[in-house]
Amino acid sequence: MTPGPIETAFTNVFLNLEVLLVIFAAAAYGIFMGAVPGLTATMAVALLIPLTYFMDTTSALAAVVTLVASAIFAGDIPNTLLRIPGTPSSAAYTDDAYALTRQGRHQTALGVSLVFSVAGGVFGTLVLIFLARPLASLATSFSSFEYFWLYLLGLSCAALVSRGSSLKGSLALVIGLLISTIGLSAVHSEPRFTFGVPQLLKGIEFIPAMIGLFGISEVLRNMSGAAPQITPTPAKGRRGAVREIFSPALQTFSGRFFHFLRSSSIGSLIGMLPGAGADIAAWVSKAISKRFSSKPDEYGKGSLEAIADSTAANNSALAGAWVPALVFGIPGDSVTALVIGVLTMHHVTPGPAIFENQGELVYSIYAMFLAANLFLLPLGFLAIRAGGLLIRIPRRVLLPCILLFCIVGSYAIRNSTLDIVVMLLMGLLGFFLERKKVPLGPVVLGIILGGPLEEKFIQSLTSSDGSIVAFFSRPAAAMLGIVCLALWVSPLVLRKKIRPGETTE
Amino acid sequence: MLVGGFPLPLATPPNYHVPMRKFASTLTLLAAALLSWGCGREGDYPNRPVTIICPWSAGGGTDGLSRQMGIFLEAKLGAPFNIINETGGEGVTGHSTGALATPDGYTLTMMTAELNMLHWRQMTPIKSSHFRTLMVLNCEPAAIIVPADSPWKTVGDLEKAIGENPGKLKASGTAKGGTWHLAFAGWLAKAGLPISAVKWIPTRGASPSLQELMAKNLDLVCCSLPEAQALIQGGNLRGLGVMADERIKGFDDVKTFKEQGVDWTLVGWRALGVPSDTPVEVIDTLMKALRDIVGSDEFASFMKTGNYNVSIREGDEARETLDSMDAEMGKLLSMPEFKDLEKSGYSRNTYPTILGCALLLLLSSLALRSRKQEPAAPASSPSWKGPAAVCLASLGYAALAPTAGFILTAGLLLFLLFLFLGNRAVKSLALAAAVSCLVYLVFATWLRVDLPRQFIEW
Repeated sequence: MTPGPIETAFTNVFLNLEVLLVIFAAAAYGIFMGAVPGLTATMAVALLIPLTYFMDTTSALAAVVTLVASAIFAGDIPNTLLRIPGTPSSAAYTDDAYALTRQGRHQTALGVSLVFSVAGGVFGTLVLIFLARPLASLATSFSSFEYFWLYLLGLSCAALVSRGSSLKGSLALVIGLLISTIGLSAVHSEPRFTFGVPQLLKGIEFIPAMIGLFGISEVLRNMSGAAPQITPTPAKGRRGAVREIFSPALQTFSGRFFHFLRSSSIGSLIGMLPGAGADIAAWVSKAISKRFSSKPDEYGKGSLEAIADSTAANNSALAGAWVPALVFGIPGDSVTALVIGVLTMHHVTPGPAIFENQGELVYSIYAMFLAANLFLLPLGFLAIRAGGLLIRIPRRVLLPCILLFCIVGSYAIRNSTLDIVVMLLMGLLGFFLERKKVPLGPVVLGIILGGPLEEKFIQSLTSSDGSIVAFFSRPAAAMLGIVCLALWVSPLVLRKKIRPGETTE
Repeated sequence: MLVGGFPLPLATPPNYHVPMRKFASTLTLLAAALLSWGCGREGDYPNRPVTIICPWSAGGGTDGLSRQMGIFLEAKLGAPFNIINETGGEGVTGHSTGALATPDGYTLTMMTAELNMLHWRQMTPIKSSHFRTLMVLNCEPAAIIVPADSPWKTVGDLEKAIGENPGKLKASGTAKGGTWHLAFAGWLAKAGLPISAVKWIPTRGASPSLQELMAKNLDLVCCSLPEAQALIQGGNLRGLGVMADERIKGFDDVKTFKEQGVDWTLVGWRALGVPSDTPVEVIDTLMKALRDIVGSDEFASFMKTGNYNVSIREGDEARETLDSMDAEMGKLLSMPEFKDLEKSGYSRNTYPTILGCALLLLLSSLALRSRKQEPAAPASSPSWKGPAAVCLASLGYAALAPTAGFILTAGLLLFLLFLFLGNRAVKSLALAAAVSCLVYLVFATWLRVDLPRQFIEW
């Protein structure tokens, strides 16, 4: 790695007014797209593609990078204020963030989100600058066995760290997984549980499901008069707001620096595996965070630690997804698939030689990630302030508007009226589960990862002729498998020994 | 510029002291102003977003071509062309959705060679006659790809290895019965080997298969050469042979099967199509745009950079290509060995059964536990009027919106709910009108979401 291309790359990004303007505009656009549930980063990037056609390569990539980085933070805004996760990776800490809003501390919650998002994003970028190549070869050593265990690990973390008993968490997870079996499966071609409705062949889309489970169930709760009132704090001046948003965040940050390093490392590692990504990273990080926390009882009830560690992980995971895309041309998600399209259009072919042939381009991508995260601080601050307005709108005006947004968001993902009905049914399910004190986060992750889990499970079984031993025969798979099993066995053993009489609620 | 032109609602300085009524009237004014700005979209095709269905996952060769065609068509026709990856069911999902879409030209399908096989396997009644094939864009011969350090140097080496270790080697490239699987199985049959001599792992396409090959969980992948381009050029993988009449441009050192003494070719194709009942005017518009596109330098340069094998066919020529392929597939798939293959493997019920057992186990242990504990304090009984109103409102919207249009339905929904929650009638009406117009403007006009249209053109 010579300093030459790095310097040029950073100059090209940071000292180029056009690129900076593009980053600014894309950050603002990304925050808006991320903050509206139902509008996804993929959709935002897809809308941007025709524009990138007319831009030079640096500006085009800057727009995409910034958009993705800002959209995932912005997902935290409706997550905190309205209990509707803007992106699925926010679902890991919905309960914590919304509990703080109920206490009138939404500014604090979002401040922590913002600071840890930016820090996580910067950390993820640094990891890539220095470790991209060795890590890329790690990413390609993952076969269906490792993926199976990784998905199961992510799902287990979700079931075990959620609010309430782990038994109910597991129930939520199995419900989510069962919902994901609706439609044609990836490995078989016969329909399952579609009840003769042709639109159901495509399965249940997770965005309407997520909007329903969290958003609609909260609307239902409010309409039934069962939800506690939110107590808004009196408005402060601009300087007061800066202090309220940033000072607890910075305190948390300086007090948890090592926890932050751990969470971001987990995020970078998991983010790099094609097809795993930010959602799993957030849950795994939260589970580890809870395991080592001095206040594990607060998790799920408004813990700043939970928000900080999950959000640092999902933001650092973002930059990671670019590694397999750039090095092997294997995209991890639809956003990086679009990026490969943009690169090809500009005559850049992804591949291991990209560091030698296009070093400057790779480094300018890193510079863009840094720049995007820096722009996110002030813009995110403005977005938090503006979002605070939502809390002040009287509930009798706000609730119908939220319902309309939920409907439009569910519909927008694939222009289907059926998705509105799915959203409503999921809302009723969420409302019912909440009354039974069953957490909702694992249901969402179950719906998202259910299909991939089955696919990897059947692929592994086929390739091993149905032998379970094969699931532990590769070293990495064995390690992940043992961690996964230990996660399930240890609480059962520990609880029996330590506190036999205590109930779990 | 679209991005720069966004008035950002989130970036406006917060003002906490505006009373609600003034706020509402400001909103109404704003909405009215924006309404007049949004008028004037003409009625010719295409005047709203068009969808291109890609039946395969993001990142594969079909996906890349679909996205690029979307960009070209968008530049040519003005309307946005969005790509949707309708994956699953070995291509059944995407092709069925595309064939059964409203034949108005707003849903195009990037059809692939699987369309010629699925109906032979009785997986779907859909076949190429359900589509009007606009243009075959690209023909992609199958190739066998192995790790760079693999001991096999020729197709003959591989044939020998398979013969010596029947049932031991693992291969993939697509789902069971996909084009690349048939290409591979057809070669095995030609070589006199049973199809079951190599274990085929079902995957979602070339991308995940190559990942498995890199992770050493497969011995070989059968897919097209461009799909593995980055890894072949990077020296990780090697092409063993390509099932075509001639070598492929850009992969000049990969010999054809014929050169290696095996008379076997199999070529996959990709074509853009619309449902067969699509109006002639729409097809004419699309054909004109497509002819311009495939004649352009940008198209040629994209196909060259992406290493797509250009093969443009339209009209009768396109139909003949598809029909002859269909006949060949029919021959292959009616072999008894293939019928057996259908029945092998894990059933669709394996995974749901495991989940069902887990659900029963969890429910029963929860029931046991709650019997042991004293009953929880009864939660305050909720009022059911509110939730019922929400359900009625959502269902009402779903039922009314497609005919009455977004603004009317959304306005009515908001107005009734505002009234239900005790707002005054005038305020409710003003707010409902303002919010529904604003939402329509933001989502339909700027973000290009295809919200149900109005009686009046807007």
